[in-house]
Order: sequence, then structure tokens, then C-alpha cells
Amino acid sequence: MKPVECENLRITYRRGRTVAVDNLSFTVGSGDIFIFIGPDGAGKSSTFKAVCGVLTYDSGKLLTFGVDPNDEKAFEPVKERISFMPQGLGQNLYKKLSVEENVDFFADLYGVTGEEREKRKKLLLKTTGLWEFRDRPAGKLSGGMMQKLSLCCILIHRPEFLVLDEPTTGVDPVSRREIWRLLYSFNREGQTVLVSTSYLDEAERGTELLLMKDGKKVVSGSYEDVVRTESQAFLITSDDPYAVYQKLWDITNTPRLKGNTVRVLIPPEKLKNFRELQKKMSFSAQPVEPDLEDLFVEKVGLRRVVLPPIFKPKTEVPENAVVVENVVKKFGDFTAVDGVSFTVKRGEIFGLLGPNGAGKTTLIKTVLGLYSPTSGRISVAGKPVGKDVKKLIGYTSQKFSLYYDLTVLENLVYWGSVYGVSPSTVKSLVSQVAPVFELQEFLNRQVAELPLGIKQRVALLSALLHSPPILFLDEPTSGVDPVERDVFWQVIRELSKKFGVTVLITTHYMDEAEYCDRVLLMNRGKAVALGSPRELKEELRKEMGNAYLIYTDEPFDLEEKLKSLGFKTALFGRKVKVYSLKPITEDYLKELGVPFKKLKPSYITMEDVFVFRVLSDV
Amino acid sequence: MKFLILLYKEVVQFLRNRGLLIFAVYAFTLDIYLAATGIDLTLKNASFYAQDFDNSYTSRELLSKFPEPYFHFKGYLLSDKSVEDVLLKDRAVGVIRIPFNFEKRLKKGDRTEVAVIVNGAEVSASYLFSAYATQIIYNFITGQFFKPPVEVVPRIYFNQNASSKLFMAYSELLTVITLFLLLLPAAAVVLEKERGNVEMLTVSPLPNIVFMVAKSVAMGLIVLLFTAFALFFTVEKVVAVPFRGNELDFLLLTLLYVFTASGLSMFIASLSENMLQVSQLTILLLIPILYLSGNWTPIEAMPKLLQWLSVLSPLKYYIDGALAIAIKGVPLKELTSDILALTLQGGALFALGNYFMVRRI
Ligand SMILES: Nc1ncnc2c1ncn2[C@@H]1O[C@H](COP(=O)(O)OP(=O)(O)OP(=O)(O)O)[C@@H](O)[C@H]1O
Ligand SMILES: [Mg+2]
Repeated sequence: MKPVECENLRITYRRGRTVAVDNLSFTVGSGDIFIFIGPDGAGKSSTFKAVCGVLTYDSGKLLTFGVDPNDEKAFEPVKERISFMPQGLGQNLYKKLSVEENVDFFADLYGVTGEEREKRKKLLLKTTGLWEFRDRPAGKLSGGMMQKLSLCCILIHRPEFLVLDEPTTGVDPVSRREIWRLLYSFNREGQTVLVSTSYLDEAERGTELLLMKDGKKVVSGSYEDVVRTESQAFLITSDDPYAVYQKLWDITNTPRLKGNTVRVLIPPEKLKNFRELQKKMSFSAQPVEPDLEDLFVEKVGLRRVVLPPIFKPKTEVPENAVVVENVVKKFGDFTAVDGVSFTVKRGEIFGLLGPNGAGKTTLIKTVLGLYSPTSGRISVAGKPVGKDVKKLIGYTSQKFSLYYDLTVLENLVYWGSVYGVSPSTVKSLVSQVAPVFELQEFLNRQVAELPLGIKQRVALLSALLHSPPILFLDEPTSGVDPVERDVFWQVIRELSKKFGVTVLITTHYMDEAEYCDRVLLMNRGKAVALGSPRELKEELRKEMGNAYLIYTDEPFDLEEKLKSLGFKTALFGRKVKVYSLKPITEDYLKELGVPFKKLKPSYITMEDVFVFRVLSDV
Repeated sequence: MKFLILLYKEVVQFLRNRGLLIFAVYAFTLDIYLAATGIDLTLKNASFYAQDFDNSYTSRELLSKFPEPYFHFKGYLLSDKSVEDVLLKDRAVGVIRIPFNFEKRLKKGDRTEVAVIVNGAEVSASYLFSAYATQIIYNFITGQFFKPPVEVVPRIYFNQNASSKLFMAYSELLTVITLFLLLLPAAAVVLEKERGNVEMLTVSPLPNIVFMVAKSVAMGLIVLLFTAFALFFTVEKVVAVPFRGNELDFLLLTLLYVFTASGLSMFIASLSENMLQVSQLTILLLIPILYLSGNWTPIEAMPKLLQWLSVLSPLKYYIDGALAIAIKGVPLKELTSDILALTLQGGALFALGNYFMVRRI
């Protein structure tokens, strides 16, 4: 019996006024790793809830293990065969209980006992890096650690069918690799996995993929079948990528600025215009194979954001906007931040990267004066943080800062007045920027009803109302889809480049790290690397050599083999990335006796920098 | 202007909290009516568990004193975890925890404590539950092991005769006012703490103290409005007992009391991490305040120590003054000593409570 059979599924909210899922059909086969992607509010979570019998669907045919989830009585025994992890930061955890107690609690709940339980608990906690924190109360974990703990609690028993709604949101790249390795190994033991994700690179790792938009299916199939675009993808290099980027908007709604390159999709009928532009601006455009992001962008479409000048700060801050010198922050005898120093220049976008629990949030909170540093010196806008400095700061925390029971406009008016901006000013500002942020239709809706991407936009706007010259953003884009994140980064870029706003931001999306001017990589409270993304990648390339992708049907075996030959490797779906100082050719691989389907040169990414700098820092 | 927006936000949030709103409307209307007219349909079938570490004859005897149909005994629990579990999952209104050596210590006359743990999500039921339970436990202990110094007169449980209708109506009104003044500001603050918003406010240039004061004031205003409503509508029209004094005087006195009680509420807020703790602490504070106020037992009938302690119960002055206005028609300006006591106590508690709260963030 198939885990899920679904035909013409329809789910509505607010008595039919909002259609969340419409005419959706798909089948999850036994042993699949089935992945859902799609923009925020596309209806992924609703579908998952219906599959697990948590929510009643309106019409269509839905069978989970052959039973209709709407039939509560008949479905009760099926629930035993499913494990469902809903979206959201550690909601199912008991904050006062320790990490281990939380896992034990769920084990009790599912009746997992004895040796089996101890073994599995250890495996899960070790894989997620939580083992050494097993005595810490869940409430004192970092955001990503809580997410990982929720996942452990769900995985402690072994149902046939795992349904995970964005399990890796806010989880760092190293742990994500580990979690996927774990899912693969469960899958090999026979578990079926249905999972949604906002990380496109993860979508590649499944056996089946379904892209959803506005409640409907856009495409589905295996990765190779799905990732085909009607337009041609180009990678553009130029001396002035930003100028090219801006011009491209006249031709298409797909340009993306990536460091010093621009990626774009040109539909056949626009090729002529594109070539003309190329001639005029004399940039080089290399045709590339489309990837999932290209597909996503083609189907969903990007939106140009131009900020009105009201966000230009009225106060000028000194050249060294944020100075952190040798800051140490201890909780009891645990050192969360261990002697970190850096300076953020005025107008710079400064990225703070690091694994979960590295101390990023703690560092930001210490800089903001929420925690007092154990030692070290901090100055923001040339002064220690006090009342007059606070006016110059905009902050969004990793948790949400909006009131769910207030409307968007009420929230904005409230946060405005907290920062001394009068309601009339806020209202006139909102009327100007609501179109830019596409918030018009949401202004009088309560925040609780909005999809995550919109909430994030409102949260950012609420931090911008007083036009602060310095912004601190703690994981502002976690769980947000690529199109929304693009809007977000356009805003950040305009603020920084046009208005000279200084931005300190943390993220777990490595593509976003490329957007930063400089990046500080932290691990276990210490700074392990500092520099521009280009410098950091180049440094790593010098040490590890060039990167190659090897395509295969047996990625695990291939990776094992390469490792045993002494190569550094990383797993990407059914590809293995390998690094070598000596050039790798097909002949060389044959010589080594490594079986493969295809070999392609690749390049070092910020994710590589992250993973290898963190793993080699022991 | 800024302050008005802070107030507006609090009021809107209160009004959108359906559960709390319904409870408030109930408390300021039906509850007072029922208390005054003595109709007994308050606590019904309240499910509860027991965590009996003693497991002795006495402990079982105590548990048997929780009568149906008010209570419904669902079984024993072993671990603290399962206690938290049944409460969080709304499987019970409360849990009675009896410590080790309960029987032994009682017999020796040593101090021992029985804990009444209630489910904060069901505010009204849990308030009643703890009030009943406290009464039962108290009666059980006093009844069985030593002669009680006073006869505890159970309040809402029995039918009242006509002459006490007047007293009961006002006494219940004052109790409800106190409950809400303790509960609302603390609940509002703790919700912000739970959501992590306090942190956002700390980073903002708005001083935390302004924020806290806005909360107390907003909640005070709400309670004041409800009080006026209860006075003009429930008490005068529905229960139809005479109000002899000036309503404005009554409300002014209540305003003074708002400061005292919301100061206490800030203490509750600063000690609580979640709503469950807020409800528990509120009840913990409410019971002695009510008891010491003489609302349940005439102060003269209390033991000397308690009489002396009763000076501390803010409700005492409020009741004194309020009842004098309502029943005897005394004008406010003749109540100088009560006003003085309330102002002093209110000023101090309000300042301290808010200061303490801000320090704890
Ligand atoms: N109040 C606290 N008491 C004790 N330990 C804490 C406290 N707050 C944070 N920690 C610990 O400090 C470490 C760093 O936490 P922090 O939240 O700064 O991590 P982070 O880098 O932001 O991680 P993430 O990417 O998951 O958000 C973690 O090990 C965490 O458990
Ligand atoms: Mg963090």
C-alpha cells in the first residue's frame, strides 16, 4: 500500500474564503524521499497536515496508507505509522527540561525503551551535535539547536513514514549535511520520507520533487526531469555587475546579483534584446545549465524593489560603525563568546556565519546591551550603547518581534511610537512603502494569519521606521523562500549602497553569505575566519584545490571510496563533490578505479568555506 | 501621544483575547449575581489528579474529602513530568500534591504542606478549584487534629439569607476586582516575555519602566470600566441591592486600589516565566489577601498574629472604604485613614513592583 495517494485535493480556510490547496494530485511511493518546495503560502504545510490527519480537507481523494485521514476513527491506527513534525522553532519542546529529558519524554510517549532507546538517542544527539549539551535545559539552547532537538524527538521512534515540515530551517550547513545523511540512512532501512524545505540545494537530494505555487502543482517528477526551463540561463561577468543587473530588469524578471556575477534567464523571444544589451554594455555571458533556483525563479518570478529616500538615515555615524574588541560572554562557566574582535565599517554589509550554537545571537545581544559582556569593549556609532545610541539602531531578533493579535498597521504604528515616530508619520511612510513591500492587502489583517514571508517583511519594515543608520538582523530570512529572500536582499543592498546604512546580519543560507561585503565565521564562540567572500573562497581553493562534481547512482559508496583514497568530499544528492590539488580527469578516475556516470568541474562556494573551516577547527 | 498608543495597544490586545474577555464579563456579571443570590452552581465536576507521596491513611482520607459533584477524582500520578503533562494537555483542572510523611508530621504537629497545582489555561475553573481545595484542606486539617481557633465560614458555597445578599454582592465585586487587578497586568507582561518581545523593547529607546507603567495603567483602566459596569448594571440593576453612596467616590477609591494591586501584579510578573505560573502565583497571593482582609472571617475573630498581619492586606483598606461608601453612604472625604493607607501602600507597591520588574528583565 502506498504511503500517500492524493487526487484533486482541495483545502480552504476561513470558510472557503482562502484557498490553500487546489486540485493537487501526487503519490508518495514506499521508500521515496519526496520533497515539496514552493513559495511561502503555497500550501505545503496544509497539504502535510491533511496527509497526517491533523487538518480536515474539503474535497478530493486522499489516502494515507489506504485510509482517508478525514475519517478520524479509521485513521487512528494509521497515526501510529506516521511521525509528523510541524513547522516552527522547537514548539513541541519543554523549555525547562534538559535536552536528554526531552528526548526521553518523547521516547516514553512512543513507547521506545531499553537498549534501543539509548542507542538511538545517542546516535541522534551525536549526529546533531547536541550530545555534549544533553544536560542543558531546552530553553537555553540556540535557535537552531532547538530545531535540531525537535527533530531528534520526532526521530526517536521509527515509524514507516516520516512527514517533516521544513525540518532544517535555521539549521547550519554542517548539521544539515549530517541530518540528510541520517535521513538517507533511515531511508535505506526502509523509511519513507515526505519533507518540505526552503533550501533549494536540499530539493536535489530527494527521489521525487514537487514544486507548488498558489495551492497548485507547478511541476513534479525526478530532479533531472523537473529542472528544465523554457528560458536560457546565463551567467554574466562584468566590471560593473550592478549596472548590468539594473538594465536586465527591463528585459526579464529573473536577474539575480551574486557577488560579482549576475545570473539571469532569457526567454527565447527576448534573446534579441539581450544580445543588444550585451553589445551596448559589453559584458560576457556564459550559457549555463539551469538549476532548481532558475526553475523556481522562472515559475514564480522576481520583483524589483526600489526604496524611496525616506529610509535615508538622518544621522551620520563614524567610519567605524560597530567596534567589538576582545569580547567574552560567559553563562556560568560556559563560554558562549570567546574573545571576538572585529570592526564593521559604515555602509558595509557584514555577515556573521557559524554553526548552531556558535554564539552569533549571543554576540549580537551582547553588542546591543541585552547581555553585559564578561569582558571586552564594544562601541556602536562611536559610543557605548546607551539611550541615544539606541535610537540609531534597528533590530530584528531571531524570534519574532511582531504581535500576532494586532494587525500589520497596528504593529507598525506601535513599533514606530516605541522609537519616537509619530503615528501620522508612520502612516504616511507606510502608504509610500506598502506598494514596494507589497503589503497593501495585508495592512488590516492580523499578523497571525499571514504567511511567513510576509511576516518577515513586516518585521523588517518595523525595524526601519525610524530610518536607523545601523541595522542588526538575526536570521531575518530563515524559512523564507528564494523569491522572498531576493526581495529582502534587494532592500538590504539598496539601504547599504544607496543610503549608507550599516548592516550586521546572520544567516544560514550560504548563497546569502555571498551577498555580504565581508563575513566573520564563528565556531564555538571563537572567530575562525574573516574576509570578503571572494578572499575566503580563494584561500580555501589554495589549500584544497579545485572542486569537481561526480555524478553517480550510488553516492554513499562513491563517497566512501573517494574518502578511502584520501580525498576531501561532500555529498550533494546523487552527486559527490570532490576537491583536489591535482587536476581530476575521467582517465584519472578510471585509473583509481572509481565508478562514475559523469564528471564536471565545479567551484568552491561559501558553503565549502563554512563546512571545511568549521570541521577543521577542532 | 506615545503613551496613548501604548495604552491603545494593550486595550486592543485585551479585547481580542476572547477567552479572557468572556471570563471578565462573566466575573463582573453572573459571578457576582450568583454569589449574591447564593445559587450554587460554581464549580462542577472539576477533574483532578493526586500526587500522593505519602500514600497513608490520612492522605487518602484527605482526598476522599473532595466531594462529587464539585470534584471528579481521576487518579494518581507519579512523576512531576506527568503532572505538567496533564495540566498542559487540559486533562485536569488541578493536581493535589501530598508530601512524604504527611501523616507523621501532622500527627506530630509539625509543619507540612499540601500543594494545590492548578491549570492556568482555565482561569476561572482553576481559581474556584483552588479556593474550594484550600478550604477543604484547611477544614480537614483543623477539623481532624486540633480545635480551630475560628469557625471558617465557607463563603460562596452555601445559600445566603436575604440580609447577607447586600454584603455578598459587594464582597464578591471587590474580590473579582482584586483578582483581575492581580491577573491582568502580570498576564500581559508575561505574554511579552514568552514571545521574546521584552527583548525588542529593551533594545529600543523606550525606557522599560514606561512600558510597564503603560501596561498597569491600561489594565487598571479596563478593570475600572468593568467595575463601573458591574456597579451600575449588575449590582444596582440585576442583583438590585441599594447603593447608598456616590458612585464616583467608589470608582476613585478603586483607582487608588489599582495602583496597589497592579504593583503586586508586577511582582507576580517578575517571578513568572509562563501563564501557568502567573495563575498559580495570582491565586497564591489572592488567598491570603482575601483571608487577611476580613472578607471571609471577621478580623476580630482571627488569632492575634493574623490580626496583626491583616494590616498588610491592601484589600482590607479597600474593603473598609468601599463598603463604607456603598452600604453606609459615607462620602469619600471622610475616609481619610483608608485613603492614606491605600495611597501609601499603593505608591510604594507600584513603584517597587515596577522597579523590581524592570530589574528582572
Ligand atoms: N541564557 C543562556 N544560558 C546558558 N547558555 C546559553 C544562554 N543563551 C545561549 N546559551 C548558549 O550559548 C551558545 C551560543 O548560543 P547562540 O544563541 O549565541 O548561538 P547562535 O550562534 O546564534 O546559534 P543559531 O545559529 O542556532 O542561532 C549555545 O551553546 C547556547 O546553548
Ligand atoms: Mg542565533
